[in-house]
Amino acid sequence: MRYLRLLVPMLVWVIMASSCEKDPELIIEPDPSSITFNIYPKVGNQPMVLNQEYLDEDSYRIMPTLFRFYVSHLTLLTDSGELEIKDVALLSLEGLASGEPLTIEAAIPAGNYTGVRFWIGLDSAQNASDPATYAQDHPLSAFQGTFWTWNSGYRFVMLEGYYDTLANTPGPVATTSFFNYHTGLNTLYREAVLGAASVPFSVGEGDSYTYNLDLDLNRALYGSRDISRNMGAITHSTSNYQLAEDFTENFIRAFSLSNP
Amino acid sequence: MGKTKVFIGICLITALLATGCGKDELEPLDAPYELNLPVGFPPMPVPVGNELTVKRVELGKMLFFDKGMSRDSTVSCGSCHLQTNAFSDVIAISSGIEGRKGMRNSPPLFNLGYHPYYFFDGGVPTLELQVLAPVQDVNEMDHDFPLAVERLAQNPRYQEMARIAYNREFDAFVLTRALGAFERTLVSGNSAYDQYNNGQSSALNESAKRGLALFQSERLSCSGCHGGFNFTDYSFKNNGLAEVYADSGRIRVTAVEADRDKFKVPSLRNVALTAPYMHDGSIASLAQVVEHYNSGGANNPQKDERIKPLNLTAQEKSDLLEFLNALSDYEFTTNAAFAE
Repeated sequence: MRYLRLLVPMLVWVIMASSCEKDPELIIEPDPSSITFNIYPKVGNQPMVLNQEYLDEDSYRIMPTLFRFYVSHLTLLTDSGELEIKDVALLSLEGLASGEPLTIEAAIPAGNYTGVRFWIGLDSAQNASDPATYAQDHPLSAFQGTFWTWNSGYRFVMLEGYYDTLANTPGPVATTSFFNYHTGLNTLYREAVLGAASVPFSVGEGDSYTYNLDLDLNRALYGSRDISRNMGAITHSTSNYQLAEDFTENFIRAFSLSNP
Repeated sequence: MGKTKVFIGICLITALLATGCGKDELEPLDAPYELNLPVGFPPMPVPVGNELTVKRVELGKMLFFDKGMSRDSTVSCGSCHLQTNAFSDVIAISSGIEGRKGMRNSPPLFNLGYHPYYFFDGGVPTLELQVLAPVQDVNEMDHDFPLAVERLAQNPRYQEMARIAYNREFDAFVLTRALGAFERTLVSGNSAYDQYNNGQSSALNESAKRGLALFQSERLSCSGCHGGFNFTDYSFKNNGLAEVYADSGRIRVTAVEADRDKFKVPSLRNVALTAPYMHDGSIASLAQVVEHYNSGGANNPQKDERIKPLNLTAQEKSDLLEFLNALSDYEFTTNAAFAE
């Protein structure tokens, strides 16, 4: 009988152990190597912050008041293929101090990489998301203020502010001249054109690598397509689509390797 | 021996209980909502994850009539969607907070679960996503969405119902799902026409029957766009309302020139209860609507080719109106289940 008193608890333990979820499999510690993408917003050579006046490339006063954009499918290139390290990130200048970068961080395996690629905006599946299904702090959440409620989909880039309509005028900037570039729609989803900004790099075991890029507002306004003041100041993409497309084409080319 | 048996019994019960681990979440204290569809209506599509339940619908109804949805707590969904008018409004353009005016007529709300998209320009694909628009529209509720959710979440009743209905705290997901659930229950299909269509020949008088025949005739082509059980094909059309439109319609969401000045074809169910008419509420009465179509409409380059002079006689106009009046579902407009 004494054996029985020992046997029964053991039996219970065996049953319990076998009935619950599987034992966790052996956990392999993630590679601690990491990468930080720093994107420095600038107007020409000046660090850009919101609510501050700048003279743009054509000597017009400009004052950005809102600047947000999505980066998606951030991918590292290798000799043997590609490794996506971030599906989506929302970058915003709100609260950013002068000279401070927008950042995207990700854990990566140690190794040699031949470059990077990413897209501006959201792919069609991401763009068809329901923002109410995401946690508040998720980049695609309804709480981010990027969702178009009247035409379901996300704004890929939101750039708003004021600019003068005449060059070389004394400040302050005329707050009656409002510009508002909101790009979205699946047809305006573009890969960033990095060119020389996509450079090879190596990351050792446990190392933290920093990849620095500049984002120049001048290039977004005066890139391959000059959109400054000539095509109207407002686009919500379906309204003044040409302006949205031209701004997008400029924006994806506004990144360069940073030389801090 | 007796103590041993008890001990073994306790151990075995413990073991049996333990085999149930992994299912320790409470099931929602809710029950499926019985959606009684009218005869001849197809099954209503319901999105996965927002199946109709009693508590979901109940919560959605409470939110529908909650003025706390708007920034200054003066406007609810029900402010511009009145049950007596098939959940539309009686004025051309409804007022949002502070009396602000938007640009479009408040549409009636019924049989919404069958619609493939929402709003006159079709820019929103689901009832759940639709919720986001009026809350944030500056001319409607003008609320910051996070703040709206935060304020509504302070309501302990909403929190309790959210946990029962969706097994989570009240949040944006619950808000959008619950409203979508309630709106899917707004089913209308018991008009005199429906009763006639289901075999009660006396439900329509002779004039309405003649009007029905006219409505379905190739000569008038009404049912070409307003066909099917819901009296709409959900397409986007220009009906020659004006030569120049102030509101460019569907092109606002597609940027496709062919969509300029086109609007979603509305259902004609309950049409006699939803004056004024058209996307901008610019036609005051149903009789004037019939006159508009009889005239062939204005010379707009986007006008549908079927909009042309009809040469209706006075009797035919009267018959058409009689038929359109027979599309009113008073059981729907007086159903206590939908009332505030």
